[in-house]
Amino acid sequence: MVEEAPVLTARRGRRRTRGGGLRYPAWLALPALAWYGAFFLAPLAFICAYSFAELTGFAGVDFTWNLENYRYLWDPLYGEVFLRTLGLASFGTAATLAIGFPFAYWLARYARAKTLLLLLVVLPFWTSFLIRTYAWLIILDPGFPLFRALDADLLYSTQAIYIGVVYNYLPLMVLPLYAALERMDWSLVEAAGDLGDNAFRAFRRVTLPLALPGIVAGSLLVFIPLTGEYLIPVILGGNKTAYTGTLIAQQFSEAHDWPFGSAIAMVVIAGMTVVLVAFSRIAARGEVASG
Amino acid sequence: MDEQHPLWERPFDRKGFVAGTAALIAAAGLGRVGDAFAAPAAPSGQLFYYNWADYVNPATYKAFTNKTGITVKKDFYVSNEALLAKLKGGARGYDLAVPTGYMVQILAQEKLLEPIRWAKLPNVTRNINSKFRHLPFDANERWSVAKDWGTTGFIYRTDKVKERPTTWREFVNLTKTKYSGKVTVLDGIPEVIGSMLVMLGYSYNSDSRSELDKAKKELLALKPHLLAITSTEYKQLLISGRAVMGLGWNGDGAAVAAKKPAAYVVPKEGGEFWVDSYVIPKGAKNPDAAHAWINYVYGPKQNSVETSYTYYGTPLKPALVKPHLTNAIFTNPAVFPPVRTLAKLEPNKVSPRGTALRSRIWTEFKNA
Amino acid sequence: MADNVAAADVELAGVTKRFGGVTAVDRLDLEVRHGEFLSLLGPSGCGKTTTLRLIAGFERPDVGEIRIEGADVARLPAYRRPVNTVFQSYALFPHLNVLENVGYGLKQRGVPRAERRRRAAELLELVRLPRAGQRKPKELSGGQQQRVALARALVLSPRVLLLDEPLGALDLRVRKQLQIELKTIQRELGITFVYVTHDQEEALAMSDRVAVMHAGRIEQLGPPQEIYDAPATHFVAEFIGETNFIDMRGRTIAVRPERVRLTRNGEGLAARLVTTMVVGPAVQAVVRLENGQEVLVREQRSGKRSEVEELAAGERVVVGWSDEEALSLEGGSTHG
Repeated sequence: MVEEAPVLTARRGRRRTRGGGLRYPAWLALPALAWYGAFFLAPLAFICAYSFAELTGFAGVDFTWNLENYRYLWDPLYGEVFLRTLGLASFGTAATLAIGFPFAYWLARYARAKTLLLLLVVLPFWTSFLIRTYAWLIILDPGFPLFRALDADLLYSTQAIYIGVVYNYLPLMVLPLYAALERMDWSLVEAAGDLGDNAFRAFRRVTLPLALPGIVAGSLLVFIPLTGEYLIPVILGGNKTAYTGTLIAQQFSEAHDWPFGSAIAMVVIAGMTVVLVAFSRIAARGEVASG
Repeated sequence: MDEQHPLWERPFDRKGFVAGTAALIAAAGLGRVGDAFAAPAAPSGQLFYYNWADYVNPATYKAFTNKTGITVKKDFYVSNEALLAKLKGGARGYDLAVPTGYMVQILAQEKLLEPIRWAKLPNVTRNINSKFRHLPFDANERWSVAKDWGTTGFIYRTDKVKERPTTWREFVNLTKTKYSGKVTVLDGIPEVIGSMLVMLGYSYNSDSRSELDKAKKELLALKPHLLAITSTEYKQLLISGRAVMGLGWNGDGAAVAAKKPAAYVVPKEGGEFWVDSYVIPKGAKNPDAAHAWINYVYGPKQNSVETSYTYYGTPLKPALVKPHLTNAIFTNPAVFPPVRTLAKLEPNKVSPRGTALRSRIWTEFKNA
Repeated sequence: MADNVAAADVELAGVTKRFGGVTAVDRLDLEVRHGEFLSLLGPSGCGKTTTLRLIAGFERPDVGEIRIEGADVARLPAYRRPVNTVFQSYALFPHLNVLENVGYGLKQRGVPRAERRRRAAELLELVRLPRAGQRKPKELSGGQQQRVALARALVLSPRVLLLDEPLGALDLRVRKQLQIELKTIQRELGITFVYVTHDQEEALAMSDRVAVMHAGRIEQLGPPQEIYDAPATHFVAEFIGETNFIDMRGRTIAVRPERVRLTRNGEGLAARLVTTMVVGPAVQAVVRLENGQEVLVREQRSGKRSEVEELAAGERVVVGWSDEEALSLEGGSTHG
């Protein structure tokens, strides 16, 4: 058998590469590590430490290393805020996925002038998030033609928050989805059809598993920032409703209670970590999903 | 739409749009590390002024530089708490800042201020209204000199609210009935909760759990009828007519009234009276320049330029500024409230315990 | 089905397919008989792949009928057609292992898992990859991937297997090996193969019949020997093998180089030798006729030096051929 041998050499060859051959010197990662260490891990450590401290006087902090802040947080009042935030993040993720996937699919598979269309997708990033969100105040005004025609007054409502979330986060979903679908070999879908799958089944068994890394990446890019979303509820929701982002900001700026604000932030970070792990499990399962 | 002003035409003020915008950016994690950390060695004759955004008439900077030869470098904070955080975090190099009274006290306790040298402030000693001396947050006048003062009350559109409310109770009742969905309150914990306490006959600064509980009930009943909770948008909403009443500050009331028929009310039950004061932050490079500035703007003419711009009350003797102000401003009760109104007002001096209780009530209010 | 063995497995009648302004397949008629190995051979852009994709159902014809086992399938999507395809790019599912790839079509048909695995293993045995089941496609060489693709397509026991340049991306040694294996499998299973290739050697070596395509039409359809020995058109004669086209008194005669006899003084046309060269088992000579045309001559080398090898450049020679060895062409290449 002429062809059996290459399997073994190929595998051995790969292991050899992994073991030595193409290794980049570790110091290439140093700037990034230093940056993360100084500006991410160190502040995170501070927040962690603060969350076990105690507020004294107006703005003083006593490092008493107890769980008081977390105990105080264990309260249906704050549970409601977390659930509401979870709802917003889930809605945002699901809605941007539902809207973004067909678009990314069309863009990757059929669209002409892809570069131009992609440019249009990222065009909003040329303006600040803040300005774009403020612009929605004008659009959502009941005097704006669209809403006047619909006789709808959405300004400073929950719906306005949801609209703003979908608008602002859609590109973050579309780009990774497009990146995943763009790499897609469409003859695989033809192969699935050839083997008896109708369009829907071919999509479920081939397109979807192969797009899964993009779906996971997009979902994380949308879900995680939404758990701390601050601007949209403040600007478009009239700041009438508490989300974790506004709740944390309130502790730091209004109540000057850094320890309690830190405890809330730690809980949010822990929650995100759980979500991150769950998503990566999904992605890993997608890798080995059986057809 | 005809009553709408484009975003770029929106009026700014002390706690207004620009400051709010900066607050949002900072809160979104985009705030940059302040210049103070990287402040170069100040050339002699530079004043590094750390202030609320748009709280100085731009004309004053030029006039001051022309007069003294001192150039002004500017940086802005978005709240008293941001100022505190910055100075506590070790930022140095600022020569002048303008916190509100309670924050002057906190900064002094935290040893973040340099003393004021009154000998360098002849204009102040000559022109200041004695009411603004020995203020309770700095009884010995060691750390601060009053800049502007104002009140927290409510604004309403006189062309749309014919009931002419004069009390907090009327404000609340009208919000819950006829003007439901057309009223805003400040996004400020002490202002809103304090106003409810005052309406109920309690102190603005109450620490009492039961009193605060009653104030909370009022707020929860009010919540469904509110258009928005905002310190940054309400002026515009009042001008456009989207809102017809708003709990807010007197300067904003005057700004709205300058564009549309509107009145600012210090409710009969009382409310908040606040004073923003000049302080010299710890580690100031050029405290002489800071004193020069304070002394300069305490000139009656120069101070009137400021008042005409900010619409906030002046700490100077009224008789001294009267010749330099238009009648419309001098007789505007929003800018110069009558003395008997002032008697009922309290400054914010909520205790740490009261702050904690209020913070939780605020979360309940936002959850409602 | 059984009583219909003589009938065509695949039948195209008057099929036209255009892409924009380009006619890829032009009023094409074709019958593929049951059990035969039929190649669609032609240069790139001749419409051979489009023809295959029309049969597979990846494209729909603008005009014409496509019948598989007598049933009109022109409007049916790929998944409802009883044919399977082996793709040039293999098109193996990268997220599935080899066994799952091979069993893919069975799952959709509701075959239980154990049975799927058993069938897939059988097919892997057939394509001589019995131990690759747990690997991912990217861990295999190109030739191995194509074996998996073949197994995957065969697992559904299709009556017709469509192969789109399946060996095009492989190196020569592997290609030769797989040619033999493909042919063996086709014979053993008795499946009809429709095989697209641009490699004439491959087509001539493997096929029962070859359809030479050009500009969306079939120029000639027949057994390989017939295609080679009796090209029906100028295009076929030129595309398949090497041919001398010689103008004689307003008539063009086509003759293969190995059919031309080169002598010092035999019968035929006078010429001068331009050059000779030895190419492995053959010797080639180029001569110039009196009218200036050049003619290529090829002779097998026997044990001793042939006459041709003795010739020197510039020498007078004579070239000739028997009339029955000259190719008779049906005019130009614009109709088939």
